[in-house]
Amino acid sequence: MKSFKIQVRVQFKDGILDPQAEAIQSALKKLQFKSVQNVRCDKAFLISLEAESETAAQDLGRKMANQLLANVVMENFEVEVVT
Amino acid sequence: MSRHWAVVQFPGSNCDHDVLKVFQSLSKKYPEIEPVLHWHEDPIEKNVYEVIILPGGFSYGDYLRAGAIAKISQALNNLEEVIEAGAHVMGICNGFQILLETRLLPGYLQVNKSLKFISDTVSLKIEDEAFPWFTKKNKGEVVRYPIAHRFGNYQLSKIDKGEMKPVLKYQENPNGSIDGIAGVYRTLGKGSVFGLMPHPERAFFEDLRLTDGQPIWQNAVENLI
Amino acid sequence: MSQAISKEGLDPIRELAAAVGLSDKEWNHLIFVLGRHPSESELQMIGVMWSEHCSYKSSKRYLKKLITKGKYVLEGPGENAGLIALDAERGIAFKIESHNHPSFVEPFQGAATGVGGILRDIFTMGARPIALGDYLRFGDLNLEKHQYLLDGVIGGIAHYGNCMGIPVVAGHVGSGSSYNGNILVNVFALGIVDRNKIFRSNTGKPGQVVMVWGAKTGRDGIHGASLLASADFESGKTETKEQKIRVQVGDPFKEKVLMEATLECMQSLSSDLAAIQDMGAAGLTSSTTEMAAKSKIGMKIDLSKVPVRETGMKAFELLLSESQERMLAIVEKGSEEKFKAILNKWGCEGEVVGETDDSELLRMTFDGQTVVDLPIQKLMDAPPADLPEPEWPAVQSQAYKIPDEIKKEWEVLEKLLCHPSVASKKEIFKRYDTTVGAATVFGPGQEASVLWVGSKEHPHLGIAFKGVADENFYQLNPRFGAKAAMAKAVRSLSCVGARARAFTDGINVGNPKNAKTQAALSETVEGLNEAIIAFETPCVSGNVSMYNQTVSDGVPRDIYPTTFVVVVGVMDDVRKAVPSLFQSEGSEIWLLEIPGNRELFPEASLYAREFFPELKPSVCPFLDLEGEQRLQNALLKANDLNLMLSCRDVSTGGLAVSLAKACFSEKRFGFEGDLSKTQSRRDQLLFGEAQGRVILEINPNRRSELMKLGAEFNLQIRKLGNVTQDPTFRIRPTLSGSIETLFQAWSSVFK
Repeated sequence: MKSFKIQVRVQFKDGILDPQAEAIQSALKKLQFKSVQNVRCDKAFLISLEAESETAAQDLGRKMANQLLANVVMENFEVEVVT
Repeated sequence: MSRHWAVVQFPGSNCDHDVLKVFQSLSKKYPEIEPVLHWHEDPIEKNVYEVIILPGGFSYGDYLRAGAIAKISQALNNLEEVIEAGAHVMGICNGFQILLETRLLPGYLQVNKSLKFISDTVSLKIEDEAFPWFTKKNKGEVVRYPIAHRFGNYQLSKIDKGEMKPVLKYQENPNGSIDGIAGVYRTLGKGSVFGLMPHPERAFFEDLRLTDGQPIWQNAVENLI
Repeated sequence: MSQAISKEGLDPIRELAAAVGLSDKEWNHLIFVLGRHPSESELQMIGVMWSEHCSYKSSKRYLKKLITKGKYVLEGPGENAGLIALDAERGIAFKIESHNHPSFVEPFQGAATGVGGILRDIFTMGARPIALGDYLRFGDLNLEKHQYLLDGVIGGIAHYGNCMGIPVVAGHVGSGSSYNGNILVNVFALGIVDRNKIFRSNTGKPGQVVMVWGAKTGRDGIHGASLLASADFESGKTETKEQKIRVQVGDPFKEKVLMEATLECMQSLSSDLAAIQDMGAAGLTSSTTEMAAKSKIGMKIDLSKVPVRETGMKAFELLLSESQERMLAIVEKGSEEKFKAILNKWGCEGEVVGETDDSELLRMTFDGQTVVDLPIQKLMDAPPADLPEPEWPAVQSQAYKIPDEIKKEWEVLEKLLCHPSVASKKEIFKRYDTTVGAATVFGPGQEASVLWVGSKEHPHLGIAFKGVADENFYQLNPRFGAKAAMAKAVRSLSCVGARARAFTDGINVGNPKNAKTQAALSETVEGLNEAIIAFETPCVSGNVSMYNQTVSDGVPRDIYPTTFVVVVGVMDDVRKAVPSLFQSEGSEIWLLEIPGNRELFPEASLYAREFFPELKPSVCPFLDLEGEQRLQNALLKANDLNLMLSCRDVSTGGLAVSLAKACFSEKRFGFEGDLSKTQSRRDQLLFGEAQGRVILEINPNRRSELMKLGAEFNLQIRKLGNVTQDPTFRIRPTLSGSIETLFQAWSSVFK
């Protein structure tokens, strides 16, 4: 077993209403950041764990995302091994 | 089937005692009803409870997503089979959020359009019958229930719909829910699942001067007992 | 006395003593009692214990004069919260507390942890909290900074209260430039307790076990209570990183489970739970010292056993940490595991950290080393502070000419309705869950809040409460301010049909070293006592917040002395609670008032402040406490007779403002009145703030009963007008316009 740090990034699927992102976008415009075209609010989870290999670590991350960290009705996720 | 009516208690539930108070009041008139407070760590077996309420509150502090952590509790492990065997489950507010996380009802709840918590008393139209809660007679009626939530903006894609039907709609949309939907319902086997954001348990007692929630509980008594 | 202490930097422990806030006198007193120099940890503890926040050293001499006994009182000031009787089986626990300075530094967390603290005070007594009220003062709300503070404070209260499932059913938001550098955040909570299961902090005995319950301890808020609560807030210096770090972060979910676990322990292990105290300000220090001293026992604590969240914490950090959501409990030996089982069930820590003995010493070890060994009884009280004698600056009665000019009435009315202290707070209260608990009969916006607390024996029993402070009255004359606040609160309770039983006071003043602050304290207590005697409503709990100052032009200025009183009352039948909005078309509106001379220019009114700012008030409005008693009895009798359709007090903004607000129901009734025959100045009549007046709505066929009531209680009555279907607001001969216009103005301020 080796130690890994993985990052699970959870984001709303395309077309899912995200009032928070909308509010942030309009606030940025108000602050004269006129070039802002889009804002997305993602969640990132940094998880330290033990696994046989990098692939196994990534698999575990996917399972966690599917079962708990993301609501796949409205969210997508990406799993990345950081270290 | 027994006449045990259960309220599931999660850490962070805060409307559990309110629903229990309603059940206790009903059981004065209908002693067959035995109200039960059910701890989330104890599994629920088939055919033990006739009615199961997932109450409002902030289960697990609403951390991660409202309802996301409560969904993996022991009590909800076999929820689908329990319902198919005949239980009628109602999820109120946070309970609705939990039901959506279990996928037994379609759709999801987003933060309110205003991004703020909203507490108010709102007018709702009963769109359809929903055994045992609403009868044909109730269809079209307008009732006033309190609401109190931050994540009550119900959204749904068409493909999600399935057997679900919207049974409660806001007269004036407070939170941005699609089509003004406030509550959705489906039958499942011999039982049913009903999820709603408003609080009918806070509109029950005459002393509080708002009794529009009485029919929903009264119907359940009459339809089941 | 030990040898003289060198002043300048030679002695590090002496330097630390200054750093933790000890005066020379206090240092000498400490050395005298100990007979040696204190250890570093001891000094840190003493610094906190003798801070203003924990010792009340600058206010004690007045507070001890407050009348705190009465027939309903079960527990007066000194415990976590006050207690009065509700019925033969149950009691009401309640208290108000301030979180002013933390909220100015970080409004969201400051206000949130304020809610957390006051709720712990309530459930520590064994009571289940059922209601919250928030009493807030901001600076000028046109300033962006204060809009940010308002939003943050409201957000913090909502966050914590909503998650806990305790409804916020009352509150008041006011503003004024005296709070520009120092806002007020006072939070009130109320709960219900089984009279056979009341818990206290002073009931520990030798030979028992000391436990820490709840959350793990981190470095939150080190020195928060002692330093933040006494910081002089200078503009521009308020958001330093150091100050932010000291602010504690609250976790309402943790508190919710701690509350459920604590209440379950109290329910099922009541005979094993000897004593309990909330770990609030200065956490472990104040809870261990107070419990040991009040119980008159000794305590041995092993700090290494305190569950921690961070690594490498030092003894003094453990002692001073203000990590939230923790309790200190003293339990019978052998019962520890039973408590742990309940706490763990709810996901809370429950760890044995020490034991009690009969030594009267507080001893603490850390990693096997003794770090604290204090004769705690002898050190509980700070040596008396050197304070100036109270002196309230005499107000020169100005020889100003009373303006003959009477402003355009409609414009005045609209402007007063838009004033932040009058304007609708509906949008604020929409962020609070006001109905959770299924007990709210009257929430925010009514004359007083009413909660249904029916039991088998008393199915319709209710509790009502009302919180009040008019800082302009306090600034004019603190004794009058206190009496007016009490009278107004009692009157509001009478309007809804509840009889006042007791109150809690939240005193907020400036620097105690100012003679004026001392006078504000002294006079406020005198005023409260006069009202306590008149209404038989003793003070059962309270809080004092000092050093509330705003720097302007480089000079620190005290805020207006502001004492919130929250009066709690009981009513037999909540179904008879009287609303404050007009109920039906055609009913008659009457003014019921205490007789007396009101023929003055409306000094000390919102109207005068807004339209004649150059006139400094020197005369207090009319107030008659004996008359207020009669008014209270008359209103309660009117309620017995079911005479009132609606009822409201005439307060800020005066009669016209109160009448207009009574029309703002969803139905938007109008009002048609005629005051053309009265002799008084119109502005005095419409906008003056004389006390002792209420507006009654009655069915016209019950007029004679009202007349009889007026005669019986020696009160004046006069008909003001009628409720109309037509949504027009009219007071003949000169005031007239659309109700909708007034409503929009009133609703436009807080969004």
